[in-house]
Amino acid sequence: MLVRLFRTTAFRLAVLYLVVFSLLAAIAFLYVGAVTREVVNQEIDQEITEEIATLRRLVPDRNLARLAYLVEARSWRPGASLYLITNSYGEPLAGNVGWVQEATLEPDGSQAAVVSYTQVNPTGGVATERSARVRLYALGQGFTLLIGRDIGERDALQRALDDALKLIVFGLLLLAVISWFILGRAVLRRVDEVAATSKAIADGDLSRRLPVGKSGDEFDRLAESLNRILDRLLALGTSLEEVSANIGHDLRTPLMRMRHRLEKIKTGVENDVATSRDDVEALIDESDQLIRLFDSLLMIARMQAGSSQISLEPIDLKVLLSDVIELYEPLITDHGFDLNLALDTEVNLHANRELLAQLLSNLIDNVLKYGCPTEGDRKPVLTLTLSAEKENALITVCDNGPGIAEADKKRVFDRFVRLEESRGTKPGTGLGLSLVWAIVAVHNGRIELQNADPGLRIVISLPLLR
Amino acid sequence: MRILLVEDDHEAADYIAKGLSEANHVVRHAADGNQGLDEALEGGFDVIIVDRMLPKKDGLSLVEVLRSENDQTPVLILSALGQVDDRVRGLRAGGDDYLTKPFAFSELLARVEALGRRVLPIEAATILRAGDLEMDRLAHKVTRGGIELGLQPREFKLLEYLLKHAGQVVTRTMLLEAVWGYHFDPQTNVVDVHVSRLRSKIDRDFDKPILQTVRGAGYMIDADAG
Repeated sequence: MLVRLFRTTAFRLAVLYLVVFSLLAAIAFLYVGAVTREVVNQEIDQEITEEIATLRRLVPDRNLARLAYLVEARSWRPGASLYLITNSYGEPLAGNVGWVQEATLEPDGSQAAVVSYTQVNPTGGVATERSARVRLYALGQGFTLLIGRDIGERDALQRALDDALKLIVFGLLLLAVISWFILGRAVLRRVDEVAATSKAIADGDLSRRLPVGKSGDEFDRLAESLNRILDRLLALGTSLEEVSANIGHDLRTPLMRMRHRLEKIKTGVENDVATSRDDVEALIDESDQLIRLFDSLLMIARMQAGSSQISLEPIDLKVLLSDVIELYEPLITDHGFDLNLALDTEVNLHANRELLAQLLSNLIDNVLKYGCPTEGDRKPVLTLTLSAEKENALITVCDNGPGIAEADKKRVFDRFVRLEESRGTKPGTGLGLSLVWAIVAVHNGRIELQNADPGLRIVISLPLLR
Repeated sequence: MRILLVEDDHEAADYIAKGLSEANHVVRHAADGNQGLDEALEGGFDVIIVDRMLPKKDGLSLVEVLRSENDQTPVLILSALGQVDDRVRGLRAGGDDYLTKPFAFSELLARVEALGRRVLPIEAATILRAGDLEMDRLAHKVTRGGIELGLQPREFKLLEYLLKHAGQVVTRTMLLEAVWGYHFDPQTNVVDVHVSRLRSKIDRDFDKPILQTVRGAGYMIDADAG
């Protein structure tokens, strides 16, 4: 488990954050430290400069005795700076500094240096060594004046900052480890959940779904997406079952018929050659029908697999519709239908000519088969309209027959669906509208079934040439 | 006609060869693409039937090589791939016709004979005749027994195609392709209705019918009728 924890993104993230924050914290502290130091130094320098200026003002003639007197006076005030006047031998004459570390100071006050020193302890005893920032001034004849301020506080602040930094980095490390552990485990747990559900699904239980929490985080989003995919798979699986069930009837029926005929031929109705020939021709027709059915299925499958397989070219819909109508016109008339055409608009789009012709052919076939009015003495009418909206071409095929019941409207596009009324009475594969639907889909279009009251109106919209 | 059949499926090859022989054609069979190409290049065939899927060299490559050698022998491509794009590819490779499997033998026969017939003189002819029916392609006039027949443009095209292939069987699919330019499957006898309208115009009022229905295959104009 621990090894897995190391391999998690949570671990990597924790390490990353740790490194970044540590780096930033270190930089911050170093910066603060440097700035503080600088500020303190500047303050001290400023004070020293002011001191010197004041002393110069008070002792304009550089009277040493007076200077020493003033320095002594100042040395014992609370919060005093550090003073030391030495003679040319380095012996202290005035001030509150007991000892100063030998430093290479230029006695002109230009440079400041940090030196160790001890203060004069008025009560005697050993004085502690401290640090100060000082400047050295020449007083003439080898006498020097040292002025400075203690920087122990500054150092104390520095140390405090360093300690704080170490504390924070350590704290971060601890926090990182804890959060990695907790987060990592939490993540691993969710991953395990997903893995377990996936395995169940892969093993065949398509009804399982991934648990979706309430937080809406990336895991939840992922789970939701996967669940949607599973829904679709389940739907596909269901439709496959439906298709199999339908295939069961719709393919077996012609196959059974063929088999019966073949058996009949086999048991030898030899004396009746003409009948035999009819049987054989009927067999050929049945097998042609089956071939057609398989071709349709294949075409539908191919189109559902991806529209990239289909080649598109610029097409004038008006010409195409006119062509197909011209082809069907005698058949339409022979069936007793009146033909209404509204093909005045020129509409161009990217399409597959053969597929669109097939689409129209199927729709017209359907009207001729099912669009004949069953009641009253209406004359059957087939109406074909071509028009264009903003972005779509609209093809409308309309009849004045019995129409389709609301409940059936969704089903008719499924494969092998033939509405009860027509099953067994009229020839048909049940694939006509499935093919129409697939062709519309491949062109990124939409198809809608509407009540024409009376009759059925099919509206197909296809996106226009851009 | 001398026909070369390049087909690797032996059952299919036997079936086709037998059918073609019974139609009085001489058939030579090659079972793979290389053998087929060798035979084709040797020449002497009126029509070559090539299956698209062949071992050693596929059908389309065979046709492409043939064409690159300036051999213009008519080629009919057989294929299980039946989508329009496959057809286009086959024709672009140099094929003259394309038939998808499974097919009706009568369809194959009709197309093979249509290909094998030297159509060139017919293409150029301005007057087409069958019996006492005469079509003036330039003037767009059709007369029979001297009487002018009023044909719609589509009926004219239909008759023209049938006359160009007089004496040969023309299938419904061939008509749909040649006269309307579509390859889809109409599911109904759409073409038949057009043909019967044509028939009513050219045959009904006359003694001898010129337009024959060939059962299970298609239609034919009897060149010697009338």
